[in-house]
Order: sequence, then structure tokens, then C-alpha cells
Amino acid sequence: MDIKAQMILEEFDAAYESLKIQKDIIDKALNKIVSEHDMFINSVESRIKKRDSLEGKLERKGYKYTSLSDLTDLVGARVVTFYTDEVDKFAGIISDVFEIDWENTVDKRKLHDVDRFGYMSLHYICRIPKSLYYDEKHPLVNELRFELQMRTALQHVWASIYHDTGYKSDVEIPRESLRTLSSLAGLLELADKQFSELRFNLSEYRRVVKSLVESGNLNDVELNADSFREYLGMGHFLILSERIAKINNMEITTVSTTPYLIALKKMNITNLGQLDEIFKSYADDAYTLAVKAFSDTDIDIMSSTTALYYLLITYILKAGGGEVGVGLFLGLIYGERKSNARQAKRICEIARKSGVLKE
Amino acid sequence: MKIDLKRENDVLTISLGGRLDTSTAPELDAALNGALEGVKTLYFDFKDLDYLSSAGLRILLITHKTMSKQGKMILRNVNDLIMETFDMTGFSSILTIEED
Repeated sequence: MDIKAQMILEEFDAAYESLKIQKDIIDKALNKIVSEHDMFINSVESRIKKRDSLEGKLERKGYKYTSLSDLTDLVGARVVTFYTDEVDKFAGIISDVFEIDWENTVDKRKLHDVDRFGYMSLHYICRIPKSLYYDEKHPLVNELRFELQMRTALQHVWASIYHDTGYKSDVEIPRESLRTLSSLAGLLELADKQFSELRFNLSEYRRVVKSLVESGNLNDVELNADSFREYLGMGHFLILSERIAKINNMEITTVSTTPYLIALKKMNITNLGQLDEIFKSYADDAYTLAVKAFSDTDIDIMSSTTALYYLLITYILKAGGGEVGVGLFLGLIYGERKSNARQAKRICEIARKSGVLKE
Repeated sequence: MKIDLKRENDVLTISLGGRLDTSTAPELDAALNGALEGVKTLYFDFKDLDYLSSAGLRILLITHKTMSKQGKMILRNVNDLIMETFDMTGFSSILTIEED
């Protein structure tokens, strides 16, 4: 090792305390971004370059460096996202938090020719601004640059496997293996694109459903988890729930509506228009039935599905489903139970007493 | 009200008898205090339980929440009257109820 490299290693040893502080500041700043911006992130990690790794680098590329400050990856951090657009979003936020050395920052995603596939990652070379941290005893924390890599989980998998091959560049890799790695990079790039499109399309779909529900075009809205949630959040449905709650001044506890969604589909209710028709026709009777059921009890707690329970039981009874229909319905929402038939019989008795079910 | 706790390793069985209502719920609450530590499976045996009021239901829901973080809670021998309470309030969908 030449004398210049030896001096850089001595500088590294002397700077180690500053590097530890720098790493700590970066960790905190990155994690703060994730929590404040509510980002869906796979991982945030960082490391200080190992001494033997630096020694190896200086042996291989020592000619490029005259002092420790020429190295830009003594501290390295990596943010792994799930979506490609999250990489860009993170990068946008990062430039407000750290000072970016734009001359040395590389978007490796844009380095490939349009017909080539390979390493995809966004590398920012940064410094910690004095506004984020400053201590005159550790000026190196601000002076030394660090590298921040941002990539998707799939890009990370590819890069990790490439690294595991032990080759440092494409020219070293046997032709067939390079072709396999390139085609896998293309496959993963396509998968990343599809995942981003999937997320965008789902978000767009939810927006359209919301607007259709708000505009009242309920027959055009397929019944699914999104549309069901929107419908149950509508004013008139909440009013029924609150009316029932007032019978005994009941507290409403939220529970999953998924069993009801499954039950509705089994009952061939496939769009919100059909569900709304049931509501308009039977909401008052459902309330009457609930009054009869609760008024003889001291129950002061109910779930967010209680209104649905009475609404759909009323619908079944009015449609002539009788005890058998109610029993089948209980099986759909609560599972097959021996007690379903007995509970259905009891519900029908209450329905008759309330006048909802005629003798 | 009868409250009987039986612990075998990480399985706790609580057998209840009589009425679990506003006046007796604090007894169950006190019995549960500290008893769930290290429990992975909690059985409530309702064989001799005749009645469950809101106060009892609230204790069950709170205990269910605790147990869902450390294991599971299973209700056994629930009579029709109590099952009706679970059904009409909608909590049958979150509680695990075993039938014979």
C-alpha cells in the first residue's frame, strides 16, 4: 500500500467518531421522513464502511483519492421502497433534508440504453447541512459526504444477487450468466412497473367509486370491499345505526364487515343499487325489529354491523325466507353452528311480536 | 357468581356459573387481573353461566383484545340466551365460540 493510501486510512481512523455521529443523524433523518410522510417502505439501513473494505478500495482505485474527503461512501445509507414512484418521492423529500452534491449524484436507472437492462438504483451523494446538525468539535460530520441509495425491493433483490456472484462488473461475467442477469433485470423492471400501475389503478378505482356513490348512480357500482365501505359511510346508513344505538344508549364498536359482504354476494346482491333498494324498503322495519330485540335487555354496547344485521334479517323475512332463510343467513355471517336454527326461530318470534313478520 | 380458574402450562380455563352482570362483573375483572400473564390459550367455560349483561360483555371484549395479542380466547358451552346477545350485538363475528 502506498503512503497516500496509508495516510487516508489514518484519516479514517481519526474520523471514526464523526462517522458514527453522521450515521446516527442520517438514520434519524431517514426514519423521520418515513414516519412523517407515512411512506410504505421495505427498509431503511445504513453502515459505516469497514476498514478492510476501505483498504481494498484504496488498493484497487487509490489513484482516484488524495484525501479522505474524496471518498463519498464512508457512510452509506439505503432506502428500499416497494414502488418505483416512492423512490422518486423519497428523492424529492431528501433534497429538502440533506445538501445534495448534484455533480456526483447519479440516477443509475437512466444510464442504460433503452434496449439494455441491469442495475437500477438512484444514488445521491449528500452532506449533512448545519441546520440539521452542527458541533464545532465534529466539523467532519458536515464536511464528509455520504452516499444514499434509493431503490425498490425488486431492484434490491437483483442488486444483492448480482453482488453475490462476486463479479464487480458486467465484463467479468460469463456471457450466458450475464444474459440471465440482464433478462431478470428486465423482468423485475416490468414487475415494478406493473405493481406501480396496480396501485395507481386501485387508487383511481376507489376515487371513481366514491364519486359514483356520492352522485347516487348506485346501480353502476359493483358491490365490493371499497364500494361497501363507501356505502356504509353514507349519511342515511349511519343514521340507522345511530337510531338503533339510541334504543339503549349503546356504544358502537367497530368490527369487520367482510362476513356481510360475503353474505350479500351469496344472496345475489351484486351492486350498491340493490343494497340501497333494500335499505329504502326495510330500514324502518329493521329499526322496529331492533327496538323489540334490545328494549327488553340492558345491553349498552353494539357493533358497527348491528344495523346491517337487522336490515338483512328484515329483508329475508319480508322476502318470505322465514326461519330457514334467517338460519342460512346466520350461517353466512357467523359460520355454520348448531344453534343457528334455534337463534333463527327466536328472531322470528321477536319479528312477529314486533309486527315486522305477520302471523 | 362462581368463578373457577384452572391453569395448565400456558392454557387457562375459566369456568363461570350464575349471572355475569353489573354486580358480579368486578369479581371476574379482579380474577382476570394478572391471571393472563403467559397464557396462550384462554377458555371460558359458560356451562353453568345463566346470564350475561353488558358489563360482562365488555369484560369479554377487553379480554379478547388482550388475548388476540398473545394467543387465543375460546368460549365454550354458550347457552342460547347468551348466544343471542352475541348475535344481536354483532360480536359473534369476532369471538371464537366452540359448540359441542
